[in-house]
Amino acid sequence: MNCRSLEKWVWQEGAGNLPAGAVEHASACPDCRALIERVCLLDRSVGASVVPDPDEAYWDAMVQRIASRLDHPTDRIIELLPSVSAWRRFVVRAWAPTMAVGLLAVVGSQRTVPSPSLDKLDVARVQERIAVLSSPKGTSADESYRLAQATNPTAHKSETQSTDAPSMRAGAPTGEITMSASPKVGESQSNEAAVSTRQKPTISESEPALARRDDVVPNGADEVWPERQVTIMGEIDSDSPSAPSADDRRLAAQDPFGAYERQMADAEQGLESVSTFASPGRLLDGPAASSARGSERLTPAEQMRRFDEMAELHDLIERLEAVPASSRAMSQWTQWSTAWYRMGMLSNQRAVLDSAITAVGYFQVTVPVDSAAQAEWLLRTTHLEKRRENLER
Amino acid sequence: MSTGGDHDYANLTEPEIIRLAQSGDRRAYDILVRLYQKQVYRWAFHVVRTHDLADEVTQDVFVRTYQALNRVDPDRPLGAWLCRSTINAALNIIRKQQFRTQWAQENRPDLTDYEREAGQPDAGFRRRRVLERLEKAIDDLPPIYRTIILLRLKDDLSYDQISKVLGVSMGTVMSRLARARQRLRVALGDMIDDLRE
Repeated sequence: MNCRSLEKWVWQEGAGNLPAGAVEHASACPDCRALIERVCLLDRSVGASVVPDPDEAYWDAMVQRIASRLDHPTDRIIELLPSVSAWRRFVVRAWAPTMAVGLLAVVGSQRTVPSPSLDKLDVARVQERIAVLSSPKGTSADESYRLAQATNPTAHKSETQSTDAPSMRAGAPTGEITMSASPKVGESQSNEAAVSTRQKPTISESEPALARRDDVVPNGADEVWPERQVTIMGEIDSDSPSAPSADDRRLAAQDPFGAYERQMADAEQGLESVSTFASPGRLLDGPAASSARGSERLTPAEQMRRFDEMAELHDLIERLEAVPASSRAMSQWTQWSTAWYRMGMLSNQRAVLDSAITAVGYFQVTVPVDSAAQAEWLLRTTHLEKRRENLER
Repeated sequence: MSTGGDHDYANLTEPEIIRLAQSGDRRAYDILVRLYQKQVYRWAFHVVRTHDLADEVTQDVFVRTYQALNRVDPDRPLGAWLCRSTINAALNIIRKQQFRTQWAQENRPDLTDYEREAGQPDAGFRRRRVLERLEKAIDDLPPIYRTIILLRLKDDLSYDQISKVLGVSMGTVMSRLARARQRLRVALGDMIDDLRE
């Protein structure tokens, strides 16, 4: 075990249960010994942090308050209106259910376009899209699209509607997949399938799941078909598995690109350097933090923000590793955005840094495809995580 | 609504109590509340870090759980369900109170204040100050990081348990835990050595 692997181990696992290799290394490395000792101190102190311990009267009262809320649900609304007069209380008590129904009706009427969830993925549309992709190379976009439309006119209709939607959609339902396949009139002979994914777990009443942030994610609907390609867009999500799973490997074995190993090796080489660069501890403790350059020095609060930003970068790397088929393109893209980010770090210019973070806020890669099998494989792999979640449930 | 009956609640197992509560027995549900309220409060406090909000979350969780009681599997531990619901509810409350984070940022003590005081010879004083700083650093952690590090280090939950509770992979739990530790380490700076007793 070396300093880097020990550091990674200690931050993730703590210093309480070191493997033999780590102990051996630490005995000869004063820096690692110091790190272990500090993480130990930190863990102990966090474990000893204070949680209030109210007395028994409080807990008895808690049971009563909960019982009261269960018996009189509308009283909660009144509690939230401390200054209303008695007649208003009466109005609230008497009309709360009616008002609630009315409010729901108003809110419901505002919802214009129900977005399909991934669980209700329209297989026909996917097949139609693959049919478009696999049409002969000499076929024009219009011809191949008409062909697909003839196969499934309903899907075409829904897709036409989807292109009318704004390209930025906030707060869309989880697990959304949007597909755009409308060729621009007069465009040259070209095909494209654009796939936009948001891989968030469903939040349901029946099984409470962890609530997530509700970022704006571009849907990736692109009206131009420059060539045969699949565009994958995704939100950076730290829930991506950090290593390929058995499912990933099984899909990799069916890789129609036929260059999985080489691509992974390339990606790992690229990602390795990114990972080294993005090590938050090194940056914050190292010379880049202490010798601020450029016209604008970072305050401690900004340093903390920068730390978050680098954590985002880590998440991005994890995400990229979870999509092996497009790892080459993603690796290149990551290196580009990382170079941008590095520039921001070195110049210490907040504006540059912010723009880089905007770049890593979501990813978009375009992967050329030669066959329907490749497109289908990409579709499957990019939805792997969501499907795995569904399987686990 | 049933209020109990002739059941000997003291001798009932948890699944039996849940089944009774599902059948509308409010006394059985009160027993469940008593069983879990301290733990729910504790989980909520890990996320929201104030008594008032933890109290609110605790009430909300038990009210919502009662409303969804028919979806609870009596043969599985209610604690896991409650933990997940609590953390969900607490994160929702935090989201509504985002100004708090801004407040915390603006009111973070200037490091130079501490550095001036750190020159004093009183190690006890320095330790108290660094513990205060640690509490503040925990407060300032993003809620999800804070939740994970406290579930792990304070409640001693395993990675597997945390991943099931939060519905994320174990790898994510580990990476978030590492980031939480690193953030605390950065927030404490050189003061970390004053944590020694």
